[in-house]
Amino acid sequence: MPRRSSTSPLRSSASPLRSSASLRTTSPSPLRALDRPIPVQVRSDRETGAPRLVMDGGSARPVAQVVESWRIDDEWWRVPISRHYHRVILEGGRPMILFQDLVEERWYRQ
Amino acid sequence: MKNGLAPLSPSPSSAPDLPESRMALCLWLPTFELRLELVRSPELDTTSVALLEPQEGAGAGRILQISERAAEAGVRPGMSVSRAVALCPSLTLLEPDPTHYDAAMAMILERLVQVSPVVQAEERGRIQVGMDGLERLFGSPERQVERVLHALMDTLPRPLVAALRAGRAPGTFGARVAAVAARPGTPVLVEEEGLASFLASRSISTLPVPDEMLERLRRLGVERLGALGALPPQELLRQFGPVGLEARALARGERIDPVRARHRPRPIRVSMDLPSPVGDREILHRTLDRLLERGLAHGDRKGRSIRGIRLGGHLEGGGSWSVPVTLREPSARVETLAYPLQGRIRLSPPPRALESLFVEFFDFGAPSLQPMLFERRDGGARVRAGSAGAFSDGEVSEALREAVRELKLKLGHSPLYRVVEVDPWSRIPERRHALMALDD
Repeated sequence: MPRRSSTSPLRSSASPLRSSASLRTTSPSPLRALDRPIPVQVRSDRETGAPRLVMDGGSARPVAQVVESWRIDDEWWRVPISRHYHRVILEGGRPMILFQDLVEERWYRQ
Repeated sequence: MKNGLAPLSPSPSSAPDLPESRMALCLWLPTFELRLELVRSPELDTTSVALLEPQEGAGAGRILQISERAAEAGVRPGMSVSRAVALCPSLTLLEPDPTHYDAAMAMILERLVQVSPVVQAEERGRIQVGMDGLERLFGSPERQVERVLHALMDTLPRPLVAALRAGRAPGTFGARVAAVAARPGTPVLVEEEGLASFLASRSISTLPVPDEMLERLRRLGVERLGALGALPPQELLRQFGPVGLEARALARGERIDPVRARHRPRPIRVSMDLPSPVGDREILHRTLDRLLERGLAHGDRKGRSIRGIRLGGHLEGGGSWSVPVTLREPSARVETLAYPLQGRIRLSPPPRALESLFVEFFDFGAPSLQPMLFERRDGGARVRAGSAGAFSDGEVSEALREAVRELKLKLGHSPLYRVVEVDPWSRIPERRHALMALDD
């Protein structure tokens, strides 16, 4: 996986709609992207990389179960996007989708 | 993983909202599907019979399960049909009927839930029943197992109940191993203090680990769980990673995975008999769209979005075909639901023409109130980003238009938005949908 530290894929993904040609030409209404990634602090397993502990609202919540994991690698031809997603259930039963930006090496929830 | 067991989860704990039970009873009916077929066609009971694997794509099928007579003739599961028939010319080949098998499993689970609230289906023919607390109702462990088996008598034909193997032990793995060790009619019961010694003498084949790991362990001379449990943990970690450590904990009886109740909402099923058998993909797609519309309009849906769908039907000349699809994001739109199902039809088409088609919604997402609030008169509430942002006549209710005008007068802007599709098939979640201000 080629790493590019100069440009953050999340910076571009935070305003993904600006690059959409169909939107530029249609509506004057401002658009707000849904499901934007929110930075979060995560402690992950050193061996597997799976999230183990999530800082949520100032308190650390252990991950009870990693239900599913998948990877998204896209747009390598411009600003590469490389994310490792995990659908988890926190202790207490709260579901959450986390991903590690593999370019930035930062965690987000979505 | 040939043993069909769920792989080891990364963490032994789970969401505590779901009821759990430490003491487990594993009910196992080997060759479940073939036994159901023999109940349906008892005249085949004493003949050489083989059930075919569900066919994925084109090509000759393989043998999934065999009767004792077929085994005596040398037929084995996994064998090609041509080889099996060459070995046993009188072999009766049965097309799989997954719809029938799933319906039987659903019936069994429904009956078991009346005995214990914690019931977990591991695979077809293998069920874990939570036993915690049942002693106050039914008495000794032996009596508890008896009562569970007795409950199945009025759901399953007696020969099937008689063929069940039952194992009761702490944790699902212990119960599974006990069920494998049990004989029909003679359950194996393992108590907490005897679990480690019971497991030690059992084969490693029941471990929920990849087949390659089992093969490597056997090559190292590790055949029994006791031998695996005696290996140094750091060596197992080096050889197999975290799975090695978890397998060791299971083998030593140190890891106890409780039975977890699975919340299974009642599925919504709609079906259509086709006037003549249909194999044409275009017609199947159109019928699928109509069934999805009917399913989404079903009163039992109560606004819930759909996460899991099963598409299937009865095949011309007998047997059935079905394919499940689980969506990454639940949806209540026909196009979104139809797209992955059409992909499955392309990848795993029905082997013959279909006489009927059904759609079953078996897993649901949260109810979405947004479409109701912003319901447009001509259908769904979402618009594509390319369409006009402002209202057009008949699109949004007059009351909502009035509300927007009032809010703009009071606040200077409207805080009401609509969800628009931007790039709904994007792999990047934040690019799929956006909020657009409702403007009059």
